[in-house]
Amino acid sequence: MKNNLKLYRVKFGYTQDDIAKKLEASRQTINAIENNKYFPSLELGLKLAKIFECKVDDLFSLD
Amino acid sequence: MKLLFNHKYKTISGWIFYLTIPIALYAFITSKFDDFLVVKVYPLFSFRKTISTAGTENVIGSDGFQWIGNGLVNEILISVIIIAGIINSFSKERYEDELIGKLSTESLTLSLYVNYGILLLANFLIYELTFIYVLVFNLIGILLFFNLIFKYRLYKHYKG
Repeated sequence: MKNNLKLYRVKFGYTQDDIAKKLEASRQTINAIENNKYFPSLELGLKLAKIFECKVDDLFSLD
Repeated sequence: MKLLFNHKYKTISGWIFYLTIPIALYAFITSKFDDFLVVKVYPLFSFRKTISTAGTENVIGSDGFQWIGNGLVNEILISVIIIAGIINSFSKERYEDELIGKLSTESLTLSLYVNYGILLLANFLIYELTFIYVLVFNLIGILLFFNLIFKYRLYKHYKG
């Protein structure tokens, strides 16, 4: 699975810390998602999609 | 996760857990505190009599179901270690998110494997009454391994 999280985050001008605070997660978790070291749950994926006003498919896709 | 304790208990329970382990170890090995806090207790089962045959020591008989005198230091130390260990192991991190939850679950699984791996080895390498040391270690084995493995993985997570 790959993701465009970093692309969207930069586009919206957020830092990893900003996203972490919005999701009540740690910055390291956002970093792990961006680097494909951790694949988030559906709930977290939907929350991320809501922040970036896009579909989950736009953020995450299968290789 | 709803089953976890509040984060504010993490530090104090950690100190109590790691400080009490060497004290308990000392008390257990030296038996120096066996005569402290002696009170009447009512054991459900208790081996007392020992006989020696051909270089081995066997225990027979029981004085269960009757009041006996017993030093409570060991029992108190074990209780403190177990309670502090559980609170320390299962209290929330500062940021308790799903990745931390995943690390915690994996660490718990790994600690079970390590603990029972050691128990299996000890089963074939340590015999007779000496095996009681293995059983005593097993009282806190899983908690101790879980604590160490989880803390190491958290350290790597935060460092990354």
